[in-house]
Amino acid sequence: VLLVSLIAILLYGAGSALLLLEVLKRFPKVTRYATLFLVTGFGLDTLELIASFSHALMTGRVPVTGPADYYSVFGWVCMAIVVLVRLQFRLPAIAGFFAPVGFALSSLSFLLPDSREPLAENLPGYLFAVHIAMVFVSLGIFCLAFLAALIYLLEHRQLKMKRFGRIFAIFPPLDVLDRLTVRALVLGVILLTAAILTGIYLAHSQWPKSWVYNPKFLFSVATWVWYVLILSLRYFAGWRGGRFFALIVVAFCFLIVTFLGVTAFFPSPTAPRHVANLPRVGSWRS
Amino acid sequence: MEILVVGLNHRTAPLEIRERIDFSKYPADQYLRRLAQSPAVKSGAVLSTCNRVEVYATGPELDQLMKETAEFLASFHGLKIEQVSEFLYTKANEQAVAHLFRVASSLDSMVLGEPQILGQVKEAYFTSCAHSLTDALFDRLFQKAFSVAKKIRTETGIAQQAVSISFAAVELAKKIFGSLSDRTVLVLGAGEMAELAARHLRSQSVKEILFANRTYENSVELAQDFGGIPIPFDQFLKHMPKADIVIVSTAAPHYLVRKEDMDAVLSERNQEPMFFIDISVPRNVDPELHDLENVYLYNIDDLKGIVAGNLRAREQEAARAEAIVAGEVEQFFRGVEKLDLAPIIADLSRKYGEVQEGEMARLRRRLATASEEDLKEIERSMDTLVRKILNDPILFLKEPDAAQPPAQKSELFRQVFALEKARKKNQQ
Repeated sequence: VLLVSLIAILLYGAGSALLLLEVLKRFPKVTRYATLFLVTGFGLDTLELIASFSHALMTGRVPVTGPADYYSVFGWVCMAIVVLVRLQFRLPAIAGFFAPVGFALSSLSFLLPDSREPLAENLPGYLFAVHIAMVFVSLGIFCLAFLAALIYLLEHRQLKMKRFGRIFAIFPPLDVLDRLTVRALVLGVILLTAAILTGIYLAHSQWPKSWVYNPKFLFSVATWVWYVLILSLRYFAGWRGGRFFALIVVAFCFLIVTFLGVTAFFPSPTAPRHVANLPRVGSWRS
Repeated sequence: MEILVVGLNHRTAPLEIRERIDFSKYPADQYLRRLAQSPAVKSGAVLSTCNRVEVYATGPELDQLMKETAEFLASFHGLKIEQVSEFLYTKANEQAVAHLFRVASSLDSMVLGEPQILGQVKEAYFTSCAHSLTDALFDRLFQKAFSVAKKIRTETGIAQQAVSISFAAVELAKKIFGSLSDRTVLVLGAGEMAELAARHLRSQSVKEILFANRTYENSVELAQDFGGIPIPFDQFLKHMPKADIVIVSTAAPHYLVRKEDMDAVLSERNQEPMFFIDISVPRNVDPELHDLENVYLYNIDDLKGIVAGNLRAREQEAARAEAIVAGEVEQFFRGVEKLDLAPIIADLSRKYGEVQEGEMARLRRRLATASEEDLKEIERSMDTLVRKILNDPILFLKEPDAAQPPAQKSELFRQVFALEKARKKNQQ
């Protein structure tokens, strides 16, 4: 499994570098292999993920716990989006800038020590797997929206300043970025809603009374509110352009704080009671 | 075989000369037949555009080829060579090949990276093909030129950015809206530049073009020309919310579109972006429009600035393209050397193949009692022996050597292996 992971990461690295070179229109003879590397790496990563997910559930452990697992799944989701954006939506610039994010996350997960927590006894394992999948897919989609928003802001700024860098030529049109971002936000909010609802159900089975005060839950709901607010501004107040995309960038930064900060410092509402009582900070490093 | 180009272009000859030496006025059959009559010319093609007239030719004798090609260029147009010689350039072999690659890649064009020239070079070559005025070397040369041009277009940014004002405006519109097929354009006023921009936008299959002119008849006329819709000039603000792209080119001495007009327009459009192109001097669109969140306003100076920047970018890319040309010229000649060596290698293989066959026939007669299997084994062994003996000389022949050019090596081989004698014997 370790070897498969390593090969997948190496393929991600090579594919990301070639994709970026392709976007920058350099070395076309070699960049044609970018998709092959990425898709093969993604296939191996998927196999590795399925194996480790099934193994965890069969042995009664939480399948995705600790930073190593988080980054691994997050990296996989990013790469799935890269493959989709490249092959289905034909947006090489977005795929080119997004692939290094997926590669960095996967590499980080490989370098971090493994940490697994036992699954709570009465927790329905498969529902938990669905919950985790929705959390990470929504996270990946919000990450895509964030990247598209950053590119939009950069391109919008260049059009306003009337000074164009060399990178301007490779940017997708503003309208394409706008539509991609809004669709990503809608899908992301739907998935996040479902993830929060399943999370509530699972948490309730563990901490029937106190899950409402769990910081992870509160931050997740706050993120959801933020994204719903952004979509409302778009659909009901007609927000577009720079300020709309700036809000998306801020929202994603908030999301990252929730994801990294809160999960590192506070226990999950779905963790068993004895785990919840353990000191949280730095526990995964031991 | 020598490769030559003789010609003139916008840098070497004034327009009066280029007008006189113009093959495009004549049917290809007429001038290509005349070129084929030159004894020194084995293959040839004539490239005639508004900025250049060039004759590409190959032949065994360079001096004769130069003389006859230049004479053809002048005499076909009823001129003496002395009248045009000061405007002509002549390039041979490596220089001629590099020149063709540069021309096909638009590195030698007046507007660097313009796309038409490749089509014109292709047309010149295919016309020669149709008149059987090409050979293997010429085919290889032009095919290579086309592939070099394609490589340069894909690997460098030489043809990426717009270098005309109207095209730059269209490119900017595409950067904002992506596909323009579901977009509406409003043209205020008339004028050559506005018409050109409208023409470019029409070629992008925009959904609708609205024309508003102070003289309504002019709007009707323009609308008919471009398949658009005329609207009364005093109602253009009413129609503006429909327009994604607004081209303004009137002679009005004041702003026709003001910032305060835009609140209503943008809210009716649900804040959808708008792109204004103000080509009028003095400006007809309030520059403060550009400060609005979803409005992009570009005036004539902005567009000129973009074109100048794009031209500079193309010049920078040209340096990369020149490096590609240099590498491809070298590669072309390596291929040509192999092409030159092919007959020698064939002669050598044929000669020793025949020696082997003769010896085998003799053995078959002498070893009458030997089984067919033994004879086949001997034949295989002989075959291997001949191939091994010839392997080193052929490798030596193919090895690039600056001190010994392929022609010299070929001659040496013909003498050492008595290939001419073998060929004559074979012919008898």
